[in-house]
Amino acid sequence: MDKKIDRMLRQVEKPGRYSGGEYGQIIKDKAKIKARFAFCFPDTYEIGMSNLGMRLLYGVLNREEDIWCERVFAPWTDMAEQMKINNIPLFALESSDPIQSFDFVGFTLQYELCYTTVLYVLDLAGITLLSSERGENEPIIIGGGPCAYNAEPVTDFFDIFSIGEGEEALPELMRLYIEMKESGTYTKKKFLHEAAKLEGVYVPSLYEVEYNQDGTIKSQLPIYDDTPAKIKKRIIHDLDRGYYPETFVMPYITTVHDRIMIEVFRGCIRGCRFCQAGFTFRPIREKSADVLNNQAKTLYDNCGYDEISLSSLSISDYSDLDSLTDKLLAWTDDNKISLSLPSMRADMFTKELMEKISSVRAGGLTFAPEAGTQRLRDAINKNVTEEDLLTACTTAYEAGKSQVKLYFMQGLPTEEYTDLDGIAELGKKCIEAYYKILREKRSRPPTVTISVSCFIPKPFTPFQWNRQENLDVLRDKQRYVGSKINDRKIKYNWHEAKVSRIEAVFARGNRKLNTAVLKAYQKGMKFDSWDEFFDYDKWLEVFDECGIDPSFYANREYDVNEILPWDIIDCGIEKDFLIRERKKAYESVPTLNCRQKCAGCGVNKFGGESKWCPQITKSE
Amino acid sequence: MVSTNHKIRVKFTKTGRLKFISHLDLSRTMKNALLRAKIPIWYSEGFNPRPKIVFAMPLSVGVESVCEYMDIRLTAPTDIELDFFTEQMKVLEIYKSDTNFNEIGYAEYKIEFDNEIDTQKLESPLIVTKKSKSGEKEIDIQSMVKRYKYENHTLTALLSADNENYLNPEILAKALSETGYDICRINIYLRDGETLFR
Repeated sequence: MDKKIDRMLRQVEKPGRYSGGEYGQIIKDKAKIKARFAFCFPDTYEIGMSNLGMRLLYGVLNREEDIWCERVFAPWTDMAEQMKINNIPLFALESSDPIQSFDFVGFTLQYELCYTTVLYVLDLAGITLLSSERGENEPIIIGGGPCAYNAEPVTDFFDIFSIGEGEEALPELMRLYIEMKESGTYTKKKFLHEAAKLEGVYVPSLYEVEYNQDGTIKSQLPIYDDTPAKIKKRIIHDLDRGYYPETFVMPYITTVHDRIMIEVFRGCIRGCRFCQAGFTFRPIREKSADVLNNQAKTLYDNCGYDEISLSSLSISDYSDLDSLTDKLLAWTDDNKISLSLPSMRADMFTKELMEKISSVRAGGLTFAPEAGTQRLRDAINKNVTEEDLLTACTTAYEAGKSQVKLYFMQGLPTEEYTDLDGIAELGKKCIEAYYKILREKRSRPPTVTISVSCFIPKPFTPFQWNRQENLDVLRDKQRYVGSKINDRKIKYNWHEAKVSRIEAVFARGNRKLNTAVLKAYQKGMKFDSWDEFFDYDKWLEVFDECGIDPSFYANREYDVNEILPWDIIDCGIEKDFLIRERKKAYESVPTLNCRQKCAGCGVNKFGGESKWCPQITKSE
Repeated sequence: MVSTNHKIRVKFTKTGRLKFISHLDLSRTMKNALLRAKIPIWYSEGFNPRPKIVFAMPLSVGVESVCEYMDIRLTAPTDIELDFFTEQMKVLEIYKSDTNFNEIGYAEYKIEFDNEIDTQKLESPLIVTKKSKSGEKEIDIQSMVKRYKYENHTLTALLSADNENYLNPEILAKALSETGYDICRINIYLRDGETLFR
């Protein structure tokens, strides 16, 4: 390692974040490489390392012999300081080469508050922030992940957005790039124009947005007639045949979620009306239990982790769960490997399942009722009853668990204060359920943790037109819930409403917000998702200086006939379906899940085939 | 009755980029490597099974070593393949040993300084204040350096390393130089300062 970098690392906290050299990293011979890709999770190493999307795409790109994908994360402020003093631009972990010399720099955009950190990373790398000003030889900046479904607030900084699943789209892009470079036809402009013709690729500079007097969108149109008017997301059709890594890069330092992750299936049958992920990942595609078991075993052999996590949006809805857990337990139990199934629904939590997963490690259990009354749960389509929840808790308690965590939201559409009362009451009933089990089975006093976050309207959900409540109402409701919880055995956590408000601004934002992101970064803002850095007042200052009214985005009810900033993206869900669901929400009428009855969301016509949906058989 | 008390000793290196990870991180990394190698590690009973891995001596972040020792308890005697580590965490030897880490007396370090240093400071008492969790303590470095030699900016020194008197080589390096240095632990000796520990 460069001596200068070595000396710098001695001056900073957790130098292991920047030293690389981990087991499982991919090192290639530069002479054989035709395109270099720097993959960035715009947060610290410890946060970004476990991101499944990153691990997947790192493997997918590195499978290509002539492409080298390396990792880069946002350096902490002490390291950024050292880098400035020593004149060292941001470098990738594998090669220690500055990423400004790479062909592509890709960012996975997992949450809106990472936008200023994206600019921080670009700046530290010495890369020009605005795409329009970026040099011909500077890397192509590409973004993907959940926020790419509405990336309008950051279109000024990205050349390309990859919409949907990138396992095939990214290598296609790289192939196009290499071909054009080798044939001598490459210019950045020509490349971007050709790229825009690939499925799932959104090149924002090739689209123009015009506004009405009232600030809403008048039109969003392609500049050229050979790029699509709407960008269709990419999906992997057959996940069993799709790529999955056989090894992970093993961090040396402690990172979050440091374990084997198996992606069980994509999409969700439930259709909870606030949930973007459930809709944008449709159609539901499952992997077979055998494939999953093999993937888990391969990872276990190659990595050395002793914990396996079955990852998906709603693990209990996997149609072959018993078979999968049986296959896994056949070898994990003996090897003292613990199995965790996060994202489990309370209404599917059985005694048998409980026994299977508690075979090795102890821990608390988490359920997400989301709303305190059946009325509101019906309105948001979270079809879990109080009985389901209490039965799940009892099952857990009887197996020796005494800690339960419950997730809720407040500020939901149609919510009344009586619904908030319901949150406190559910907590109380969970405690009561504990004391109803036989005395011998009670190991210690129970604790229930109630965690309440604020509702944020998200694109591609039935609530995408709904407003977020005003900040003072959100805060008042938080206080109200707290006042209703009087039991020392119930712990109450709430998520800072000011943070949720800023998230709401960007979640439904349009291109006008680009100036705000730039200004915020210029004012020194970054790591907005970190408590110690988030500054609400500074954001308000930024919006004011840019002539932006944040309530236009966060607190305004959007009109169903309005052109939405994300209308340019086609995620397969039809707008009419979302409108129907929203109407049912106002009537507090739930919708059955996909396996019970098709609600016609439209995604089964995605790709022109109707093979996707669970209850539609091939013979139809 | 099957005996589950098979203790093995692993001698390994921690060099290059690995010098930047902490002792706790090293312990975890070791555990992962052993799991990869399918070594039958013994786990404790109860709700939270833990392996029994003991390291001979801590190593500060920033210091390299080519003589790290670790004892692990296994459930069965086993032949171990050594190629499941990285270049910087190389296993040099795996064997059964009867000695105890308590018998360690001294550690030998090679310290390469960026600039010339004055070793005269080691010829008389060299007092520094050591800050620790329990407060500040004054220690005399000279008394803890058993022997040394200096050549070409490089100091090779034998430092006290038993449980009661462990001299962190960085304290020595900082006392002798204001500029940069690279430290590597190269040998470990018993309390006589002459016999190599094994």
